[in-house]
Amino acid sequence: MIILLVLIFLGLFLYEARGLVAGEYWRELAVFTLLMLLGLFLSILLASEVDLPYVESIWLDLYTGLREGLVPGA
Amino acid sequence: MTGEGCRKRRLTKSLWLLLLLIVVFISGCWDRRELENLAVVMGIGINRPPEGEGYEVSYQIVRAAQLHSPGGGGGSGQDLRPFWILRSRGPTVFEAIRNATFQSSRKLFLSHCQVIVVNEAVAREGLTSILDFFTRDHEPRLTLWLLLTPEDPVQILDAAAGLERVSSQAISDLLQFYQSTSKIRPVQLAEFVRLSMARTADNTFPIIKTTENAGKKEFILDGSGVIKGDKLVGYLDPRETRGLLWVLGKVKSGLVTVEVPGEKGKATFEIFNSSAAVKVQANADQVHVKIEVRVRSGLGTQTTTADLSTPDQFKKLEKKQEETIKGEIEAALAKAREYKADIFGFGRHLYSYDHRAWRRLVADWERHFVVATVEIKVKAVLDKLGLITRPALK
Amino acid sequence: MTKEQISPRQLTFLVMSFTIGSWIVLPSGLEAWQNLWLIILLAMGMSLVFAYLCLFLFRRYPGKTLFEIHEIVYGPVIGRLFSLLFMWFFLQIGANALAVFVTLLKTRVFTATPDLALVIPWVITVVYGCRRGLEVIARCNEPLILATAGLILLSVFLVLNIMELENLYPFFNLPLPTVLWNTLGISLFPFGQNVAILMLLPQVNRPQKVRTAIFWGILAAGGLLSLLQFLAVSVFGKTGELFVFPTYEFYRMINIGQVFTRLELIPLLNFLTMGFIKIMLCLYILAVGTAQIFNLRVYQPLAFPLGVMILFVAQQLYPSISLHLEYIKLAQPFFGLFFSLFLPLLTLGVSFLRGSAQREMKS
Repeated sequence: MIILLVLIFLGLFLYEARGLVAGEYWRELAVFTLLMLLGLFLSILLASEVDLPYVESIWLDLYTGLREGLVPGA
Repeated sequence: MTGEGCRKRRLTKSLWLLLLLIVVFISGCWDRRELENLAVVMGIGINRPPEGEGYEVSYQIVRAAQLHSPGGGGGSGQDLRPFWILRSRGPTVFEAIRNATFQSSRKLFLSHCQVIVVNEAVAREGLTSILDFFTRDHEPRLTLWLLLTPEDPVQILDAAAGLERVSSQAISDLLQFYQSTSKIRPVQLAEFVRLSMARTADNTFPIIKTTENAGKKEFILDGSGVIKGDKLVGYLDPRETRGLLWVLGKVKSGLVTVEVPGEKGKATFEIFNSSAAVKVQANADQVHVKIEVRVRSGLGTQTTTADLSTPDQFKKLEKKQEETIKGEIEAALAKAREYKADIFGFGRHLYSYDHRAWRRLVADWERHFVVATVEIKVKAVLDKLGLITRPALK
Repeated sequence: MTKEQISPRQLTFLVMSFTIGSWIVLPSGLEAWQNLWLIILLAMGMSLVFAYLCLFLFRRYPGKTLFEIHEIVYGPVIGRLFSLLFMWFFLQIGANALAVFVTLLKTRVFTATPDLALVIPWVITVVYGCRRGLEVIARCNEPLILATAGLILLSVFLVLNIMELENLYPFFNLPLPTVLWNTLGISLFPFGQNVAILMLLPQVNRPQKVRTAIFWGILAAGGLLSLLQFLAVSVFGKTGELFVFPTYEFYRMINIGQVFTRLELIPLLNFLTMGFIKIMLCLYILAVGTAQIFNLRVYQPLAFPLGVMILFVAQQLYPSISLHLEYIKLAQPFFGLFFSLFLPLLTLGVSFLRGSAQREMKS
């Protein structure tokens, strides 16, 4: 599964990078590479079913924490 | 690029997008279910098993192959009726339904279920615990009909269906055409859920029984059961049920028979239309209810030979009709007070038009309902004679 | 970056789709269920005020996107920081639409299908549309929003025989704080999310018409949502409060002569199309925003990795629908208030302060 993901990302990366290199879009290539690596990392996290925190749980915890701090006992 | 070519390219782009959108729809193949792999349930019965724990659920499952073949129930000794009755048990309704797969070769499919027949003993203990599943699950419709029966629900599902092939379908049709007598009050699952959510009115469910007809068991609708909250607390006979329907403004047709004043014999009127206006007022702790029912009807038949078509007679008959209808409403009201169940939805009227008063009285609504003064006004208009003016024999 | 142009009318339609987007099946403010349709109208009025305030920014810096305005007002470093904050906001909006969509499909239609099988084709489609650019998105949106509006209006006729107007009474039976709180909540979600549209404004071909276009968009979207909620209440009465997707469920009640029954396809189609546009627009804004933050000339290559990120956040947004409902009720208004009102107003305030300073420097 992870190998498949890497292959997909690599394929798309090469496809896009060809055009970017040809047009000498170096800055774009750098940002693109960065984002692709981030995307690959996140996909692998998803695929390997690591237990990650949920975004809205974090916000809710923050909210309850703040409320407790500001209005204790509310 | 020319404008023409540009437009063409844009069109192709849009088409591509559409095509991709279709991909999204197609991705649901995991849930593909074919009709021949499903057991289509038409009716469900819910009973308490003899041990008294959990639920016994019975199903009427259609046999699609037999549904359209002539002469179902043939004498070859084989059971060739167009449906199959199955029972299963479980601690909850959902588990009982799933347990049916021990017996059924196909998974039960509830989307076409038309009726749920609940045994009265179960209904006395509360309906929410049963009906929760049918609202939560995504298969059953919210429009399925709810009924009560004093017997084992299997008897109802198994009964002969008269003109229809499947009894559940027949029951569903019967309930939908309740207007011909207006002495049944059909209730859908959604309506039950709404009333139990709002808690501003109580409910009634129609009652179904079996009767013997030429050696075959058939079913018959007979009055209503009064549901308070989600528990069965009492009964209304057909006449009282119509008393209730008058107030709810749900009598669309039906017959009213009265004694002809000053003559020996009866006259039957057919109702063409009726409407009801209910006004609920709360002064301090006293609730006043004004019910105004308007009825339009025509003479359907008479058993006297007197000429009833004179304006004078019409007046008298209207008066008589008003009394009869008022009697029906009062009978229903007396029962409602006896069971302390606000089946008329006076609470709902108060909530809708004076929610402050409602909030003040809601905690003790049962008591306020019972002692509320109710003023019933019936206005009957008789304006049709049928095809003849007076009986042939004078 | 080549500048693509959309017409004010297309902008109106985009605002409508963006507002209707994820709210259409999963309404917020269910606490005020019975009065929600009135509250939507109030919230619409309130959000018009918000929109007016935000548009001040655009009038001060015509031809600039929100991110470019950030850099002008706060300077390159702090400005980019603010832009990054907004990137997270847009990411969460897009992910939210996607996650709600998956939840709906999983509970209602494709109960056995794995999440990813639903999400991946969706993301591929959205990435494709995003790469095609704003013009294509806007043009694609036109028939879809018209169809949605048409279907909602058609619904009025479909439910005529099952609606009970008494279910609507009493109007405003709630305590005033509840009404105000929910009005605020709805003016921030879905209406407040339109702050994202500030990223598109420079691409409208007639800038002087922008304000009218946005106002009409908000009015039309508010009207449609209010109508939908009106229908849901009049059909369901109080029952609707029970359901997770009430505006979806009431279509199950439709029964016209035993022929037209179970028309759940209508809301499903509406949500599918509106959610599609919303996610696509979010992705487009994210890609263009990234390009602006890093001073890039093309944004197209970024669509795919950012699409993957939307997918990731959508998968990690909430563990269960009950937590999402809790979030919408409690934390969402603050989250929205921060991004839709506080940050734009802060930018506006700072720009006024610095604006006078700049003028002094010039003279």
